[in-house]
Amino acid sequence: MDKLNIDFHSLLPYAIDAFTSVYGEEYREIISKKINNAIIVSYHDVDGIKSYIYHLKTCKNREFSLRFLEEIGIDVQKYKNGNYTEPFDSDIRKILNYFIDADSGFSNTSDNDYWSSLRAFDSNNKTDPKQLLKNKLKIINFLRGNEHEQITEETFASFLETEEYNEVLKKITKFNNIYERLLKEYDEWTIQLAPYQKYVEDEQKRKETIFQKKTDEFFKEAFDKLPLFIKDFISHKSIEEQRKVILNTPDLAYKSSIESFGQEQMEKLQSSKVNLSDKIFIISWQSYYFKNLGISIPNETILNYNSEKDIENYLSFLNQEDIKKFIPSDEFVSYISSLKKKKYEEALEEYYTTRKDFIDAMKQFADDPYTRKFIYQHIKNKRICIVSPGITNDKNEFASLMFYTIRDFETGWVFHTFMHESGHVIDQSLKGVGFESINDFMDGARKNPYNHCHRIYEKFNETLNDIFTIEAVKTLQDQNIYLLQSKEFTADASNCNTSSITKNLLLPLIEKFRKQVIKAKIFAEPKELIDYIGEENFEELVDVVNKVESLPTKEIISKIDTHPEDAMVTEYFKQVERAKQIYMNIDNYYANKMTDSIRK
Amino acid sequence: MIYFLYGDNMIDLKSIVYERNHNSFTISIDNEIKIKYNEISKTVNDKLFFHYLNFLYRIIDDWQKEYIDIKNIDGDDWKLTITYTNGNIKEYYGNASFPYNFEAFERLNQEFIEEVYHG
Repeated sequence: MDKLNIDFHSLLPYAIDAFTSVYGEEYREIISKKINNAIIVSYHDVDGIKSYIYHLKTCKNREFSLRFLEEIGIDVQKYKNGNYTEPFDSDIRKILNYFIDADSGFSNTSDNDYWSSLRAFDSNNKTDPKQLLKNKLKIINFLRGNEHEQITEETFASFLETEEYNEVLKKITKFNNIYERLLKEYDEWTIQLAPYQKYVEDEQKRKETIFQKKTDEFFKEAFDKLPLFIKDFISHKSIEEQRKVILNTPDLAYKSSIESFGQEQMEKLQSSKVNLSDKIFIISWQSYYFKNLGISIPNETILNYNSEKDIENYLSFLNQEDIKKFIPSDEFVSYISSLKKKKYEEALEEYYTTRKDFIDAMKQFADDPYTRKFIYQHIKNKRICIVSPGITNDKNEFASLMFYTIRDFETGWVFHTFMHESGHVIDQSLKGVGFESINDFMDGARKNPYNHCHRIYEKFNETLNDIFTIEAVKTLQDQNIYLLQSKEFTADASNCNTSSITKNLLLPLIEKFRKQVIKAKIFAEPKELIDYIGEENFEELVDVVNKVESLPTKEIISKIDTHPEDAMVTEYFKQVERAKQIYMNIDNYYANKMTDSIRK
Repeated sequence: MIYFLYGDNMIDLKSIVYERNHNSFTISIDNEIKIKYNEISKTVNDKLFFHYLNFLYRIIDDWQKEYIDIKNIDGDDWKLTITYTNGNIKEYYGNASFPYNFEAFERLNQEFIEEVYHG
């Protein structure tokens, strides 16, 4: 799977040039050294590759849909910007749906037989005749226009006899020919995705095999520990049925039926504070256990558990002496839980650490258990990040360690995420990263007051890094250089990682103190900026950023113009006003500082 | 396999929202069950949804409320919010740290999305 391996060495010069043009030629040497020294662990997230294939197909589907409309004479000029990452608006969807399915007109030909009107005229289409007729009427009525009476299911047969039908059919045949030609071209394009698809399938199979092996081991060990009378009770059953008594889940990651009898679950069933759905699920898992033992439970189908009264009845059933004896002991449940977790973690570790990308990644490091576990954990958790506090390379120099992959949710931001991490690499030194000192990463360091999952200066640092990353990416895009993915598949990154409305709050800072911000970032020395704007103002600005990033920014962006009265939008504008005041305070501070320095 | 049927049954869920780094995957349960992923909405049939739900609860049953590692430069925020019709909210979240079977949770979501969007 060489095509999956990214040659970062060929990309680094672009990142160096781009950030140099943003930060200034005087920093070229520092930027080059840091980026060239970085160790990059590029690995594969199989789910991410799957999503990426889908992303490519979705974009291409949009491109071909527009080409189709254009070729049949519809003006689509305003949609043709060389980028197909945004969903179609309702206007274009409406037009498309008269001819082909707007979502999968090209990307899923099996659905097309059902949904695409044009396909209804293919004699080989075996879709439900009612649907085919519906599709035929849809396109016919569209082509005839609103000025004519609509053809209906009832009038369709007589319409077939008219000359007008022959005329409409000629048009449809012409459109179909265009569609078929484009479909063929699309299919040819998809051939290049086959190796990636195969990689995903192979890896999924390999993972399943490892999980199956570990599940077998789990079952064997768990069965040995099963209470003797239960063993006897199910001895006549097949191995598969016996396995269901204990596990009854797709794999070791899921709670097994036996674990649903744990103390916590039994307490939940009896608690008035637990939601009914939660209780019903516990009962359903327990019911699998009884069912697999061959014991009937009240309201066998579970479908009738609608109230707390039903739960009470079920609990009475559990208290019956002849049932009670089958309920696994807490000790056995704990044993099953820990054994299952152990086997699950073994399965994961075996899967990831035997994958080619993991083996390749390890070649860059000394293969000791700590490093191995560290790399494994990052790959397993799909991390894209720079590791703090950095590492020492074989020349005994400080170097950044970057983890990079293509993840689900980020398939249009492959270019941006790589550049974003490169931005962090430039900012990282022994002192810290940009506006975050090494102490900020220690236990007990100050946290973001609005989100204790984050460090105090983390969002401020991330927002600045995103602003400069977007600038760097733009300098390349202006030269028509797209790294890792071409223009058509590269999505707008203004809300990637940090929100655009937070970035906007820091633009005046960059406008007025660009040099100071850059110097502070690159040397991980916030003082380079704080000296010019004042510590109090700096802390206030950090607080505004933290506050805005804690708000539902996507929702605010969608409501800013339409719902200015919305509570969250109002809160955002409150912070905007606060930021304006901070910038006025900064201006005063800076003016006083200048005056003082002149006087001195 | 027993499937719960939707309609006059016990379901008291309003929504399930999974967010990772500002991106979200939402399931809303009202007159119909809708899923929103990558800004595209689709309706899900009851059977598929309850299949998903059954497995989801089997994964998250012993999750703690939060998982945080603030020692990573880049955050990796995630949050799962389950809202019930009575207003109760069950929340699990983290940053750069995850429950032991998080891989299965993401795999389940991926399979569900795949089934809904390309099934």
